[in-house]
Amino acid sequence: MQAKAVALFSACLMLAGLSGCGSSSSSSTTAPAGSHLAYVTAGTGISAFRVDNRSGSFTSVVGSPFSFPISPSSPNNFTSPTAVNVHPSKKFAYALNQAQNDISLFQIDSNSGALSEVLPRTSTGISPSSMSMTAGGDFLFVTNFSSDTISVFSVNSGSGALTEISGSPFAASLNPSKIMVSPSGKFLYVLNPNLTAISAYAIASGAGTLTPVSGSPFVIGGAPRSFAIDPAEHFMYVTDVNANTVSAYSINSSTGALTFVQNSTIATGTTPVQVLVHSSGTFLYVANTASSNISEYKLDSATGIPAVNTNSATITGGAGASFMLNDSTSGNYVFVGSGNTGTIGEFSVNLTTGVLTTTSNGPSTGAGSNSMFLTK
Amino acid sequence: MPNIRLLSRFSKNIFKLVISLAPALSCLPASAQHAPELELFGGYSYLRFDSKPLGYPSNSNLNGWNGSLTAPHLYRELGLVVDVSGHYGSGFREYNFMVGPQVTTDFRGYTVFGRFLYGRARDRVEINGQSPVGLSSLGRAIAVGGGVEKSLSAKLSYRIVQVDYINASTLGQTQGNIRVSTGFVFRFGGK
Repeated sequence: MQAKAVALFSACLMLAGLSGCGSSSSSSTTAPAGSHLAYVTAGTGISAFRVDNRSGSFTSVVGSPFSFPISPSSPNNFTSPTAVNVHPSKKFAYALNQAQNDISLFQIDSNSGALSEVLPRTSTGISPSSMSMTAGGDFLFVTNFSSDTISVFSVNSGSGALTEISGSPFAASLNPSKIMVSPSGKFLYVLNPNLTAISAYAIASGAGTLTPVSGSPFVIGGAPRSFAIDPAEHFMYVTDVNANTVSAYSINSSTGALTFVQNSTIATGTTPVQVLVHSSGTFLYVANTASSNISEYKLDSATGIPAVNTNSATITGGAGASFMLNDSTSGNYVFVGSGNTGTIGEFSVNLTTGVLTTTSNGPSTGAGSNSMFLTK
Repeated sequence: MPNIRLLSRFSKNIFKLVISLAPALSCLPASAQHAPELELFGGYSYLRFDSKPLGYPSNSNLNGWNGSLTAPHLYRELGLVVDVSGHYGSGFREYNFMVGPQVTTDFRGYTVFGRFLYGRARDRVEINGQSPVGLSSLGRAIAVGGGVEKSLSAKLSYRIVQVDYINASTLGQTQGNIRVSTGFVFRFGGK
């Protein structure tokens, strides 16, 4: 009787205990423990994931993907957000509704990371295509592709509400598309693909007003498709989808003006549509959609000139690249969105050599993804 | 606060179960048919809710209640238990309704039991915002566990601890939850 009782109780507790123990995932010791949130616009919704800092694994946030009706009168017709951005406070997120010419504001559930929309939406110019926020979250900049303007909004830090500032929208060059606030927050750079140029603006501190930098727009020539800025804000890298190259431009730290770096142009794969400077500032990656691969380079810290990373092999994963970014918290991972297949490719980064390795963590978003934002 | 509608639904389910068990009870030996011993347990319960699969940064601590109705000796040490519980926490409500076999035996003045349970779990997650949204899901629940009781009198025992691992499939994910309960057991019926 005694043995039976002990065995019974022990077995039950052991079963309960063992069953509750989740398997621990492999992790990198270089990354801080914890996780951050990723928001991906895809189809008629925003997919939300929690990404483990160490393993890089994606876990879908409960309720994801989040879809929002175009209007209350048509509850089954949803917006198709084309870009997403998260306020540095991690309390709010914003999505561009290109077809509706407006911006959605979302409150982020502090526990789960789930999104709930805060109405009303904020109007933009015609066909808003890209947005970028200052590091402090004071201002949000939006390119209006068809009205050739840039809308600037001040952000209420308490509610997340957007208010268009005086003087906005600001005139821009032809068809402004990709937009990026420089790391220092002093300058704003805008790609004008149909002008084969990049426009630069000085951002008035505290006011958010834009003043074109002398010499802007800076003609790049060829067919610029994407650009990236190094964390130290010394160089900009621009891909040319016709010439299949990437080139470096130095950034004047005082004026924000761009100057081509001689001998910096280097071959990429075919149709380089995305470029990324690793958060360490040491490596450069280019996603080539026609050759379905990623080109890997090392950067000369003094001249900014890229050189093919001799350690790397051709790695597949650039097909339909709709975005390319890396986890700036640890730098351990690079993510490439596929506008074709509805998947996100994840690549682990060797922080010493810069070499990328494909992981099996990349999640599916169902529909083709077109933008992604990772919180820090 | 417990969801009244859910509780009402659980109560109905318990009633249905008792009705469905009636034929089985009628097949028991004649000695057991007179007045089968029944135990009613009620008490506090803690649930370590496995919220990571739902995208939460860590698992969640929920508090609530646990109740069960047990016929411990339907056949010697083998009995049947109907178990219900509800747990609540920031943004979560979690209910379980399960039934299954239980083995009960005595050990040095204590009653020790182990059981396997199967049933349903209902999880509700609140997403905060301008218009709070509640996501609710009903799914399968399987549990294994056991516990220890100390008899206080012929009709009353104190369940010192009861630990169950509850594997639930709700909200599109599978969670492995740990439930720890304590409370009092009221005994009635029997010889």
